[in-house]
Amino acid sequence: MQLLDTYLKAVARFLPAAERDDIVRELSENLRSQIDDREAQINRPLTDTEVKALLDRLGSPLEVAGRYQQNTRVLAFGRVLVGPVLFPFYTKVLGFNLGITAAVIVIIGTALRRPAASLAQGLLIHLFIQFAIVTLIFSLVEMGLGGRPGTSDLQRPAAPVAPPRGRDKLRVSRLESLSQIVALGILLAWLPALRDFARSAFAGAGLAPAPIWRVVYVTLAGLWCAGIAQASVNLFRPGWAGFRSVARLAMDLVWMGMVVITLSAGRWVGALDPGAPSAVAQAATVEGINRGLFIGLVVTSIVSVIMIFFDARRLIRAT
Amino acid sequence: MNPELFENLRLELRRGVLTVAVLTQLRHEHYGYALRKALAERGMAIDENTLYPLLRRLESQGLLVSQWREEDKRNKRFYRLSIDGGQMLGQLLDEWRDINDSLNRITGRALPPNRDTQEGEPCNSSTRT
Repeated sequence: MQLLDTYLKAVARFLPAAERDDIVRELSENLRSQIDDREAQINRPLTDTEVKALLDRLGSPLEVAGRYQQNTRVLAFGRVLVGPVLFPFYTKVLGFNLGITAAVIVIIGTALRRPAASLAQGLLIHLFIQFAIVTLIFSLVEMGLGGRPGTSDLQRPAAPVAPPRGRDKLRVSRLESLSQIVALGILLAWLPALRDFARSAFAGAGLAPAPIWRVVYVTLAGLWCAGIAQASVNLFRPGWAGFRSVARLAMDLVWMGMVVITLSAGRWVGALDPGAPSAVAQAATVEGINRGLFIGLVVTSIVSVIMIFFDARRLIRAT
Repeated sequence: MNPELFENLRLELRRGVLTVAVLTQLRHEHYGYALRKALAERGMAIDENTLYPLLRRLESQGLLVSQWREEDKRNKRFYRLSIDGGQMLGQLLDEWRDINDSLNRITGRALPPNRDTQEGEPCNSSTRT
C-alpha cells in the first residue's frame, strides 16, 4: 500500500488546508475498500502494477484534488478564456511570474532611488506584458482542449501503464509540466528586457553593474532553458518522475554555485565613471547598494541550501 | 451522427440526474465506495472523482449527514439523507416526474412508434426549427 500512501500524500498537497486531512482520510478508506473488493474477487492481493493502474485511472493527484474545490473559478471575458481545470495552474503561473517581475523591478528601482512615478510606470508595463502573455497562452491551451474538461489528452486519466520501475513511482502531471514550460518560457523571453531595464536604471543613476552580472545572466538563462527541457521531457514522459527529481537537484546545485560565485565577487555595483567628481558623492549610495546585495545574496544562499536539502530528500525517498 | 456531441449531451443529461440518484440511494446509509457499487448495480455508474466530492458538497448544503464508524475493522464515513435532504428529494422527484411526463407527451407526438423508420427524420428536423 506504499504506492497508495504516496499517491494520497500527493493529492493532499493540492487540497485546501481546512479539509485536507478529512478528504484524504475518506478517499483513502474508499480506495482501500475498492482494493479489498477487487482482491476478494480475484482471491489474491493486488500487485503494484494493478494498484498503479487503479490510481492512473483515477487521474493525476492534481486533477483528483481539483474535483474537491467547492468554488470552480474561471477567467471569462465574454466567453470563458481559462476554464476550471486550467484555472489553478493559470493562477499559479501568473503569481510566480508577476511575483518575480515585481520583486526584481521594485528591488532595482528602490536601490537606485528611482522616482516613485517612474518606478510605478516601469512596474506596470512589465506586469501588464507578463499578464497578457500568460493569459494568451492559457487561453490558447484552453482552446486546444476544446472547452471540454476531461476529454483532452492532458486531462484524461492515464491508461494502465507498465509496472513501476525504480524511482518512477508516480507520474508527473502533464498540466504541471505545461505550466512550468509556460512560466519559464515567459521569464526567459523577459530576461533581455530585464537586462535593458537594469542597465538603463543603473546608467540613469550614474552607476555601473559589475561584470559578475553577465555570469548571473547567462546562468539564469541556462537554468530556465534546462527547466523547460526537463518539463518538455516530462510532458511526453510523465512516468519519469525520477528524472524530474534528479534534474531539479542538479539545477539547485547549479543555482547554488551561481549564488556562491556571485557572492565571492565582493562588489556588485560601482560608479559609472570612477574618476568623475560625482563618484565621491555616489560612494555612500554604492556602499549601501553593495551592502544590501550582500545581505540578499547571503539570504539567497541559505534558501538555496534548504532547497537542496528538500529536493535531495525527495529524491532519496523516491528511490 | 457525431459521437462526441452525443457524449457531451449525454453527460449533460446525466449531470442533473446524478444528484437525484445519489439522494434517493442515500435513504439508506452507505459509505462512499459501497454507494458507488450500489448505484452501478442499478445502472447508474458514477466516476469516483464525481461521486466523492459530490457527497461532500451535498453534506455542506445540508442535504446529507455523515458519521465516521467502524465496519470490517475499518473506519468509514457513512452518509445518509438529512431531514432537509428528504424534503428536497421529494420535491426533486416530483419535478422529475413532471419532466418525465412532459417528455413522454412531447416525444409521443414528435417521434413515430418505430424510431428506425425513415418517417422519424422530418420530425427531428421540425423540432430543430
